[in-house]
Amino acid sequence: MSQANPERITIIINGVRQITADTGVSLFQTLKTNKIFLPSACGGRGICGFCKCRVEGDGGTLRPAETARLKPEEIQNGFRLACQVIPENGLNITLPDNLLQFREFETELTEIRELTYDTKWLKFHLIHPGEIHFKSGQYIQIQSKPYPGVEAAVSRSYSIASPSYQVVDIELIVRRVPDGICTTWIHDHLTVGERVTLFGPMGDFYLREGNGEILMVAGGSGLGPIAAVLKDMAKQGNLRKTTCFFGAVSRRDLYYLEEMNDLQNALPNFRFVAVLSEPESCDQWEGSTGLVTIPLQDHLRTADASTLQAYLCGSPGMIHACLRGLRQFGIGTDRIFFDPFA
Amino acid sequence: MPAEKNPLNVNNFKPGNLTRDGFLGRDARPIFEIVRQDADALARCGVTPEEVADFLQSLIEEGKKGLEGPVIHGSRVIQIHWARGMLPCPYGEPRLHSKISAVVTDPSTGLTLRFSQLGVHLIREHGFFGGTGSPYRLEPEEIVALMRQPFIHRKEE
Repeated sequence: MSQANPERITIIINGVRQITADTGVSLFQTLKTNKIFLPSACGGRGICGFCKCRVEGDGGTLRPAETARLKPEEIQNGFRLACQVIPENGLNITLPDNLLQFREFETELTEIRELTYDTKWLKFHLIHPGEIHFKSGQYIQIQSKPYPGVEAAVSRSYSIASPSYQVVDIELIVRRVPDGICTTWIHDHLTVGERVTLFGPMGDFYLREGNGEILMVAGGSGLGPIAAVLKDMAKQGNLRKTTCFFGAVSRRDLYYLEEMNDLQNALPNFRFVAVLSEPESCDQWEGSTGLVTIPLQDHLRTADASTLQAYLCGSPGMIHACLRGLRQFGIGTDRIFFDPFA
Repeated sequence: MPAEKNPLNVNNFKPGNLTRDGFLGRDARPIFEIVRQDADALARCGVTPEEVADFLQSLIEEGKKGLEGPVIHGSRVIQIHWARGMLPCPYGEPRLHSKISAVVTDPSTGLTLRFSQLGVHLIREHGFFGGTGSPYRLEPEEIVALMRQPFIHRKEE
């Protein structure tokens, strides 16, 4: 595959797919142009190190950003950062198969609703392609648009809050991140009727087969994908014992209580427990109080930990705290599921 | 503070690039000048950037215990927000940083500090406290005042 200074070159992906590209353009950008979306937190500036892929052929000299971000064994095995590779000749590259399943969706925002003071629910209607096929609990990336003070578009990941049987719309629950580029756009600038680009689906957060109890812990916007999994279970008549703890600070952080009540009616072996760590006196809260890890530990004392599966979705702090508790009861990482971007 | 080894990509510090508001605020000084003047202020207080970073990190670690709820730590109240995802350093290093923002208030003095996990890294590794007017700018003297305040156990109300 040697071509002397070609203007157009050929890139073969996983030995099965062939694309042509202009020389002088980064591999990351070339793949994006061809609707192949590598993970990236920095938009291809060589900072995050997420866009790694295996390159055979002349990918050019290893750049300092790569020696800093790739492990020696990865470099030895031909891994490069796609954003730093500017091919001048044809290449063979290897990507994880699931990256080739990602698709770009052109959508229209059809509905937006405030769930709490800092959390919004959004519904996007798929225009092209018109359907999405995914597993309940997976996530998708949304591409923001420039707004006053922010010139660049960024992509951020959000868990899908709708169940997999809903194929023509995608629902997301987005909590405002202080000073976040994308959540500021969603909360303050995005309006109904706007066209929005989504990429996905991706992620390993979905319900696994099994007979043991399902334990779910959610915090913040994390109740969205968990509700999606539960709706799927209700549709399938799943009878596994299931308990969901939803941790929040005070009543103003709670949402989806009616939906959870409906799911308790639809799933006979499902129990929902909201836990407030700092209920205010005006909350008149009579439910569980304290950190969500406390009722979780109490629950684990009487559960059959040998078959239990745990599904965690919320802030990284909550997930780390739950992981410590679950490990104390001998629940291995092969039975604990959460998103890698947590 | 030693001079940075690699030329800086100043764009990384501007609004809307890595963070919504950027790291410089309304500060027109070159970054090296911001770092130099804060290093001078810190030296006058007799404290090193590492000591400041250790102190701020200890507050974050205390705050984490509250899982986003307020944590009472002596006379201080610490509340952190930990969002999913990671942030790169504007200096372009390989490490990514958790999206943690912390608010520490001290009702006894009325002092409020707002800082981020990335900010702790910027102080520790680069001596950069943020440009004047940036949302996470920390005044060296204010942090030192908080560091030197005696730790008082607050009585349960």
